[in-house]
Amino acid sequence: ERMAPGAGRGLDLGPAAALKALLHCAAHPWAACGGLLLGSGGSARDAVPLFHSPGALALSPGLEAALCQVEAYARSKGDGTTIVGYYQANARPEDRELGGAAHKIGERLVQNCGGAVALLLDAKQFKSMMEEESPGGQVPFVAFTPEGGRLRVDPGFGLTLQDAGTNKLVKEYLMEKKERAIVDFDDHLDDISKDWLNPDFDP
Amino acid sequence: AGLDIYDARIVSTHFDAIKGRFPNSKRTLKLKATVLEGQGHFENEEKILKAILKDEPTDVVARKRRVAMLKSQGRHDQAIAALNTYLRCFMADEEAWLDLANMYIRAGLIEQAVFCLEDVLLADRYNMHMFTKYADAMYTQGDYITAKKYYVYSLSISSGVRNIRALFGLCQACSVLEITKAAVPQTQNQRLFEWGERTIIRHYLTADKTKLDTVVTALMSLRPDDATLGNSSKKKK
Repeated sequence: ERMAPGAGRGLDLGPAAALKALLHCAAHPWAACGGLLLGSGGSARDAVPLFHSPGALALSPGLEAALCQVEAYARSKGDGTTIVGYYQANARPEDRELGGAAHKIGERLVQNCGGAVALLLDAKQFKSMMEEESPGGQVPFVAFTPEGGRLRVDPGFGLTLQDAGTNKLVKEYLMEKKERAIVDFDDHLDDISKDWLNPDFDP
Repeated sequence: AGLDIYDARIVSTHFDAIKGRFPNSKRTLKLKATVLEGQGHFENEEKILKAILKDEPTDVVARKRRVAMLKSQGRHDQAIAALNTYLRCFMADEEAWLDLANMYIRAGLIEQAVFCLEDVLLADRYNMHMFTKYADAMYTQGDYITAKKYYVYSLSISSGVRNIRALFGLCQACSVLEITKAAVPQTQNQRLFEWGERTIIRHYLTADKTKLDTVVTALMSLRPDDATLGNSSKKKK
């Protein structure tokens, strides 16, 4: 079922995808938050932050509405863009498990997109990266892929950054507290004039 | 405030000032417990809270602090148990019922969450968000008929305000009911769906035209009379 390591299993994160995902996680440090990664062919070009409220990830309707709309958006691009993954940050950095919501999303991704990776933020790694004078090219996420009907940690999954300067950019934005302006689907449902595509964050 | 953004200097400066002014106050002691939690010293915090509660078992703040502490430590089962105990004495605490509901939701125990939400609704009968949340919980449990009723109720108490969550919820519930033919009469679901769809589109026309196409496409995939697109996963339920 699982391919051997190094057999092309990986995700290359483009600057927009990494920036929006990481800033979204940073914007809600005391809550679990998650979002979708959009792209194709092993690379994620964009990220759509979904939720940061405790119920939203665990209750179906909001999640389904979001997935429905994001899928519609991806199809409308007409360039083969689909949902290629899902990212999540837990409320507590010691919490290394993906919750039930991730599994629900994972199931849907496998059904619709034929492959799924869930990325769990490694909060400690992210924090120490951002404390560096000049952050390098590491990707502060742990990858989970489907195996035997469950999402399991996949150490052989290759996570890379398309642009080596992405983390430096994330740090710049954090220093200017720009993460506060990130809009997720939760924010959008409260005020539909807010755009979950976050065009201001496309580098 | 210092604890919220975790600025150790602000916390220690202000706490020392408070301690200097009110050395024997129970409030100071509870504040100390909170500071310890912020620093991650849970054992010491627990000792202080236990002592306060031994002296005065009805100290509401200390009890709630203990629940918060358990949550911070990830001891969610115990946090739920502690909050249950608290609510047995303080049944009118709507905020606590909501907190417990969220904890149950987080744990995937939707049935228990529903029980708590009912108490919140009893206390707060004109809160459209709570009714929507209740409907969401019903939907998650697979009770689409009740979900639909509560989405409609939420919308009925929120006329003049944009209640997008309930509108989407309504369309989704009607869609599932129509596709699975689970409800009678069926024409009502179709009409409700169309009303919901029109209302959503009207809101997006005035607020956010950029998302209009996406929303229209998404709603079309839910349309009860167009069961082939997008809802195949629901039919499998």
